[in-house]
Amino acid sequence: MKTNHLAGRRRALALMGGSLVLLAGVSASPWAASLAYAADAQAGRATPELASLEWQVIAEHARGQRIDFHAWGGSEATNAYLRSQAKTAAARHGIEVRHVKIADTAESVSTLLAEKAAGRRDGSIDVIWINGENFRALKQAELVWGPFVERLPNSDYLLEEIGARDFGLATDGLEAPWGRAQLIFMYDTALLESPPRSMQALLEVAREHPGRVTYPQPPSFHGTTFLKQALIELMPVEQREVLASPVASDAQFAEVTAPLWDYLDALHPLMWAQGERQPAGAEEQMKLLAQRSVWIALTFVPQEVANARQEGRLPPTIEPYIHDGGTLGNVHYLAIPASAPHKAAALVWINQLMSAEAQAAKADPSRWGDDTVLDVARLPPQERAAFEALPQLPGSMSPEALGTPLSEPHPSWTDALEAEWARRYRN
Amino acid sequence: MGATLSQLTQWVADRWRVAPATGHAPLTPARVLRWGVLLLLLGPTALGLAGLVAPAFGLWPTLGFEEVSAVAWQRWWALPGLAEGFRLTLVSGLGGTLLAVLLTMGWVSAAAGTRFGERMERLLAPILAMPHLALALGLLWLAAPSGVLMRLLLAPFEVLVPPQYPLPDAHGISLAVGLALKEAPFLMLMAQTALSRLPVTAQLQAGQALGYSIPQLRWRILMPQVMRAIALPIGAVLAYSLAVVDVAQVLGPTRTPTLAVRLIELWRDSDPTARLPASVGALMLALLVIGMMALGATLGRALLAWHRGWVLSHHPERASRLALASEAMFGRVARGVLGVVTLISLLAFVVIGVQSVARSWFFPALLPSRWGWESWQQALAGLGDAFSNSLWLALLVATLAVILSVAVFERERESGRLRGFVVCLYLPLLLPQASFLFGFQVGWLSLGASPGWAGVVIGHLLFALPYAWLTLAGPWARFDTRLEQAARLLGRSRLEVLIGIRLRLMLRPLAISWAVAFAVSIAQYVPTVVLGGGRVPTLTTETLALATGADPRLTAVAACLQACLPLVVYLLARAVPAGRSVSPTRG
Repeated sequence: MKTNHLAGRRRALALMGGSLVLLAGVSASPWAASLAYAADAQAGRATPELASLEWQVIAEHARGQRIDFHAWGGSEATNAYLRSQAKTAAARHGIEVRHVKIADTAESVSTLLAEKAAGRRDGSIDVIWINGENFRALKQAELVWGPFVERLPNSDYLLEEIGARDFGLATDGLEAPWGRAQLIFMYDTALLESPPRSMQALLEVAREHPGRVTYPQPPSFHGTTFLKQALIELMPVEQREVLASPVASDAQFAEVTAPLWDYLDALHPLMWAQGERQPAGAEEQMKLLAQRSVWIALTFVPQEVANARQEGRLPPTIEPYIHDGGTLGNVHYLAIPASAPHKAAALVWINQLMSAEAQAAKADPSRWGDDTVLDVARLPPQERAAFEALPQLPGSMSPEALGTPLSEPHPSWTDALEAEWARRYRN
Repeated sequence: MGATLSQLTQWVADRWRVAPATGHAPLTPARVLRWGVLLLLLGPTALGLAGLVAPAFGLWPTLGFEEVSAVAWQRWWALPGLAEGFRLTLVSGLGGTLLAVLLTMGWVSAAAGTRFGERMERLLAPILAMPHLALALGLLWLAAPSGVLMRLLLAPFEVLVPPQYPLPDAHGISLAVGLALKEAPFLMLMAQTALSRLPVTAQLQAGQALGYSIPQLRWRILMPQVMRAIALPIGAVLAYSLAVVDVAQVLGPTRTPTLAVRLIELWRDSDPTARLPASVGALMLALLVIGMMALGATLGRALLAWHRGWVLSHHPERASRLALASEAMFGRVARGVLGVVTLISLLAFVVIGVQSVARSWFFPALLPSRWGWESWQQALAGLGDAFSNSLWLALLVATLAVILSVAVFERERESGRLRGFVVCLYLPLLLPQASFLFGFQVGWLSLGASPGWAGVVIGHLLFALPYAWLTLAGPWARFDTRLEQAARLLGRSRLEVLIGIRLRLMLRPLAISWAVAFAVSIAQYVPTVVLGGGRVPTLTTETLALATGADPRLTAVAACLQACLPLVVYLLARAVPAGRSVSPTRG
């Protein structure tokens, strides 16, 4: 009996020893592999071969390929639109598109980082819907493939100057513009007579109705956007130029952002839940608006209110508006990871999504309501007709009402704002 | 050091030389299989741990961190609001577990085995099957200022806007309550399984013959036995409550969140180097969990010892009127509390159901103003694959988990104790999922494997196996081994005894353990996404993506869909006849 027990203990010891060895070996191997990968990437980073081929050849090459398209899956409107586009892709181009519905684009960035760390050349992502910080992360880690945008036939009709910079970072043709977004606000006409068309007016509403105003918590996408919008609005117009270049010094940052922190110090105690909780994102804030817990919400999809009212997600009393001085606008993109195994089909798919037909369907507020990246005026007449026939739904924003969007500050401002916000308000 | 090393090599060499002579066949198929299984289980854990430890000490070559440094620790401790995060984690995690344990004790002392208890158990089955996130949302839709309860209260008045009160609160109390409501049914199920293995009737009859009342006997005799049997499940609940993310995001404070939420934020930061402090945080959280579990175990043992002393030294006056009245009073209060808890949980479930078939339902309407199945149609249009994937995955994972658990128990019996092994089994429960799985993912991909089914099955197994194991451990240890000894003496082989006697008599605990593993597999999100590379869509991945959107109706549909499979399985498992504790004489 005793020997048996001892043998068991020995075995347990050996087992633990074995797993330790395994642990050591394993922690070493991926790092070695990743170093090798980095060397490879450096060597072969010149113009990608595929992008220099004739489009017909690429399309031929793509036939029969199956691609994994990583795109946020939180909106049924988006999902349904992508389902119908995937059907078109199968029928016309013979490619199968699998929409991988992700909850947060950071998950896909994480996957790409892991694949790189493991030294894999054959990744699991062919196309990714992306912009801003996530694109910057991929570009810095050299995880995107390209440049490819100019090779796409449909890029001929792109709006001029669109997609050169993504949140202040040069895109270098590494991501193709897919849609235009502009920050809009919404309010409940049953509760407020007129919407607060500036940050100061928003503070007035908060004073008048404590607990009914809030904004998504930074560093969430919309939360940081709110900070930037407020920063720009609270600055004198002539000073705003500094935001286009990187943060020069801590002193400059402190001086430029001082009005923003004063504003937030005044706003926070008057916010929903005394500012102890903030919505996780614009979506959660819209749900609170629908239940009248908060009275203002924001979104980056200009036709979101029209779409949501039609779907019954928002009550019919909600109307969109924007601030008098204009609001931030940006573009969202499609990119191909460097490790994408089916790049030809990825190019064909992106080209299809940039076609006038697909863009017009996307701009339809009853389907999605995302603004096109194409210059409609330059399109051939029969393709232009699809845009002109788009329905006007109650709650939509006209291009005139949107005006010219404000441009995004340099990314270094974003980082500094997020860090300072956390330092001030997270203790 | 040198001496120990040479001793070790000597020992290994001796072993190898001696092995064939003494009949320790070095490489029999059974042995290879055994080591294969162990590697399958420990490999991912080791990989995950490596992927956590290396960045915590500043190693991440892909991001340009190539030397061991303390940079990750400095960045972690420099994070604002950490102390508050620790406090919140402790309040919600310990509070939630304590509350769940108290509810379970109330159930054992006043409801188990009674008709009330049975009815309650039946009503709580949906809560058991519902994913944590779904119940949290249901509770929020019920109790928030714009929630259904408030609408009911305000119905007689003309109110345009919801009132304001802090729910969820800033101190982690609503989070603790939400966790307790979800975990209590799980602990009650475990207690129920433990009770079904105890000779309850015989013990109660013996006690009554000695003049004790039934409530007294429940407190004095049954309670300590049940609590000892469900110690492991309580540990799992504690670990889960301290490390939970999704529920904490819904019911916890967000300005300064719990540690686990903070880790996920760092993990999802667009700056990949934020993962260095996240890895340190993950280790800190794991240490906190281990510390709290050790504390809980010590405390539990002390309480049981105190209870024993109390039982032995206090003999209540038989049939004293006052004692009887206070017992009855206690029973009524406990049943009342349990009734309210059941009612709240069920209401949360109903609210989710109503939300899923509502077209428009805005404050202050008590019921939806328009109804319709559109949300269900929309959701189902894209969920064909996801449903079958979830089903097959869960079937496979649950079956493997139960078989492996049985193998582990058998092995434990054969070779004494394998404490180290059990710790490894538990590690996946202790470490925050996102950071732990990243290491596994990197290692898995380095081995040349592609993201897909195989990785997902292993990933699910990592989390389902500990649950299968711990739900089975109590009943397994309390099995009357004399039955098996008798069968062995009658010349049956070990396998025949295992299948014919033990597994047959333990059918109910096996079924419950299978159902728990099934539910755990269904609810996995991070492993499915990380190891499947998005190629294995399941109900949970699809519905969690939908839940991030602005449509509560789709979120509700998602919750129902996620709950339906485990619910069916739990109901089936409950229908399996309880292998009664057969006394040897009767066999």
